[in-house]
Amino acid sequence: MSEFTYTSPLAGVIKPGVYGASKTAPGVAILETWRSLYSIMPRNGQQSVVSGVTRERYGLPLPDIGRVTSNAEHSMIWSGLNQWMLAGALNETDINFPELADALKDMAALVDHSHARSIIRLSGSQARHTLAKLCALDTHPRSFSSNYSAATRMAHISTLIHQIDAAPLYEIYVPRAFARSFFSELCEAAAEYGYIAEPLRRDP
Amino acid sequence: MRINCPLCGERASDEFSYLGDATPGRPPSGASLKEWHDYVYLRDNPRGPHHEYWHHVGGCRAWLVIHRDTFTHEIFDVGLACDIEESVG
Ligand SMILES: [Zn+2]
Repeated sequence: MSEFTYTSPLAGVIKPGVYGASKTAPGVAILETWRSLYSIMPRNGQQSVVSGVTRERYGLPLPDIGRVTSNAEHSMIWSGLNQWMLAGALNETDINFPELADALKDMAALVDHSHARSIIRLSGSQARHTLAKLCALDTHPRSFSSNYSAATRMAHISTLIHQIDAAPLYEIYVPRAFARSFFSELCEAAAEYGYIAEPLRRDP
Repeated sequence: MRINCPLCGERASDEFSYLGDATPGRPPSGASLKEWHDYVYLRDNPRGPHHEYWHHVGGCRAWLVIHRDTFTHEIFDVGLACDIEESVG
């Protein structure tokens, strides 16, 4: 829906491959991905009306604090005080921004972040241990699990974490200008377990 | 030091930035120059309980009002600044 093409900030930073201690049984997978991404901030007193609109359009009402509503393709991620992030399908530009902006006219502030964030998918048996080196969030399943989100700092960078699956599978949103710093810190943390790295396969 | 954000839960203090004293109230329009001078420039520096503005800049980005002891660092209460401002009027 946009005339702009996304260019990965990690392009040329790392070749796809297996790195670190264990090349035969890597414990972590680090995949770069892309989604169209929009922040939604309801105006005063408009939260339930906005939630009705997003429920009707995508089947995704605005979730509670620290939670995510999702369907097979899209997610509505709580990302801060009175703010949610609508994330589109994996590597597709599938959300009609002008239509959504029109539907939320006078109800919410809507901002396109599709080219502002770098998204890392983190999974594998040692993903939680890797995260533990980067942030102070308690990611034990008793306090953080599927359809949870948190805004926190990692490597001194403000990040947004969305746990997608209990397996575990996380997606971490990082301001794109900090993507290289974050990526190198993450790879450093995963090195002792061995990790698969996969940069964005194609620019969507 | 850890701060219990009303939205995010307990987080390390390095996720927060300190703005300043939350006690001064904005003078009404038409207030004297002296009142404005006091509001803009003059602050107490208490040793003990104090209300302060903090920003959860590394998290939910909410402005907080924290009631804490500047001597013992004990935190008595953390609230959202928007709720507190609304209740004050
Ligand atoms: Zn917070």
